[in-house]
Amino acid sequence: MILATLSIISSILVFISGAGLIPRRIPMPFFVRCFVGINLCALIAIPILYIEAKIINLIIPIFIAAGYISLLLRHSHQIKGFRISKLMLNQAIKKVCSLAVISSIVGLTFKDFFPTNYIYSEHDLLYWSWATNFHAIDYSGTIQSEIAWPLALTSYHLLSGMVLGYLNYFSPLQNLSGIILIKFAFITASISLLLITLVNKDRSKIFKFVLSLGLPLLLFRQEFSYNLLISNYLATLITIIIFWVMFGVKLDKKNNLIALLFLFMGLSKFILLPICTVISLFFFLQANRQIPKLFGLILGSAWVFNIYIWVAMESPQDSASIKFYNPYSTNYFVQSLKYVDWISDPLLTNMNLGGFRYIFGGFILAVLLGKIFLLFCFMYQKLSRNYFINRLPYDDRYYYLTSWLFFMIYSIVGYMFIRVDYYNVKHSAQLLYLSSTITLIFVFLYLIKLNLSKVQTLSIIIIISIASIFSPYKLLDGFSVVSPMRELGAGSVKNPILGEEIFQQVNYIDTHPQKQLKSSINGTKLNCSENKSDRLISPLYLFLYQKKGNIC
Amino acid sequence: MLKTLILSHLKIDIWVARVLKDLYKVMLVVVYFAILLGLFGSVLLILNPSIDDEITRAIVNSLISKYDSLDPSQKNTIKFIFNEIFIQ
Repeated sequence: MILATLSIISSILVFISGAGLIPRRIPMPFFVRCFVGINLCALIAIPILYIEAKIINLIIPIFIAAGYISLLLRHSHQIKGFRISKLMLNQAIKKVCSLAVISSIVGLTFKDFFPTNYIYSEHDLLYWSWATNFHAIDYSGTIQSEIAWPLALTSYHLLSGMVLGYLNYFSPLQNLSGIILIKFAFITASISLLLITLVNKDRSKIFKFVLSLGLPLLLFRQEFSYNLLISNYLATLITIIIFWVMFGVKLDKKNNLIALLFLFMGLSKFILLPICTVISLFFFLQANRQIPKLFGLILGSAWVFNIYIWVAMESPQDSASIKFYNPYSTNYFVQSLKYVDWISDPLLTNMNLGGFRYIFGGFILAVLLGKIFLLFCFMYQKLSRNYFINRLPYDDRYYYLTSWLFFMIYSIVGYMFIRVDYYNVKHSAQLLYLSSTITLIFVFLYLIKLNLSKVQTLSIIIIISIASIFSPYKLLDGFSVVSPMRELGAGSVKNPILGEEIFQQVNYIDTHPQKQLKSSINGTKLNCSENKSDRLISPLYLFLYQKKGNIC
Repeated sequence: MLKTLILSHLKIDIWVARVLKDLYKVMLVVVYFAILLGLFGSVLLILNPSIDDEITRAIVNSLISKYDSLDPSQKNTIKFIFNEIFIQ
């Protein structure tokens, strides 16, 4: 636990440094400033990993030092006037206490994401193993992950791994457990800090607040879990922060900040790039005040370099190029049913339906689409009507709501026509998972913002509770409210003690993915295996930052 | 300045507001269409399983495995029913 505490403290220190790198001319709360700063640094670091990985050990310490120097210069007068007695004010103590209570509740909610409870599977190797132990890079050229071999790393969602790798840079836990710990802490801290603002606003309505959050979470908790389990976690956190900035923060000019957040969201997931870039540009154009030129130049260059890497990457197979379904094709309807492999997994894998899963899948998809999109339309209509009656049409909140409407339209159209190619699987299913988070927040906004009568509140509770029962997912299957949808099966391991080489696994013979996971959790190097069976067990479905033909 | 001038003259703001206000209706239509698409795909597959080779194979395989898992007496019953309906 000492290692875990040190790891979290070091990541907090790195996180704070991010605030110093964002110009003061763009107004934003301190927490968001740190968040934006870290994302920007990660975006700059990603092309460096591609060009010359070794330089990363120079760049990260420089960024952190520059961030602190800038913070010291900005706040020097405040530091001079600092008195410990100020910290002992009743209000400050109350805030700290309520933050401790809320973060404990949030931490317990996500406790299955804690590294000692977490079930590690081969997907974690792809997402996070490369982001550990940057200090050990002793080769020239692009970053390589020997542990993940023959699994390979995708270039299309590097930001989510890089942010964690950056935060974990000075941590004593330079392994997969360390990254999972930082992810757990990052999610818990972000959600807690946002919730504390809402709670502090009006404590008399705390029951309403809990109810407003609890109901939609009950409805979408499996989707939310899945989002936080994989690289979607960053897009989900950014979504929550954008909503918080839009509707929870009192700032006069926040369009630039919203634009920045959408820009990062677009770079966190390939499928989000088109829509988030458009929305981001829209908010940049809507902003009354331009961003500083130098900052704009750095941001623009980071964006261009990241896109360049996505395009320039030599992929061993067609892993993630966007293609479109042809609605005139005779098997279009049937092809679209293959979505069930992604969407309704918990139900369909638990019931031995064989080939009939595709037939059931269509009906389950219909329920799922209704749950996400019909509910969204209803909430959007109610919220927009309430917000804009007798108001000027150019109220900013009008655009805030419509930006999400555009996002949801993109999602539903993407569901029907976009196919991100890899064994004919629709990766655009991820869009539906992210859309469910948006509906979740819309339901929350609807319940918290509008003064509903008791009858209306009761009706909504009944409707949502019934919808939860008819959800295609199992309810209350885990220990915590939000549980990763994983079981300890072949190819996965559990590390019950942090920093110790003790594992839980189902089979007693190590499979290749289990060996890889253990190596990654321990932070040790795995020797390359030339066995054909190892290649078969660990499917090569994404690609690594390496030259072609130089796999391991 | 120019933007305000254009907007005030052409009343684009009201036009944009109206379009955006009703945009969710467009989305609603798309959503209903997508839901029907899912249902229609299922119905189509029930009516004509040969529409997709891979899925048909999966359905046939699942039928075979279900048949294999039955007791000999149950298999005989199915054979008898099949014979009665389709052969005799």
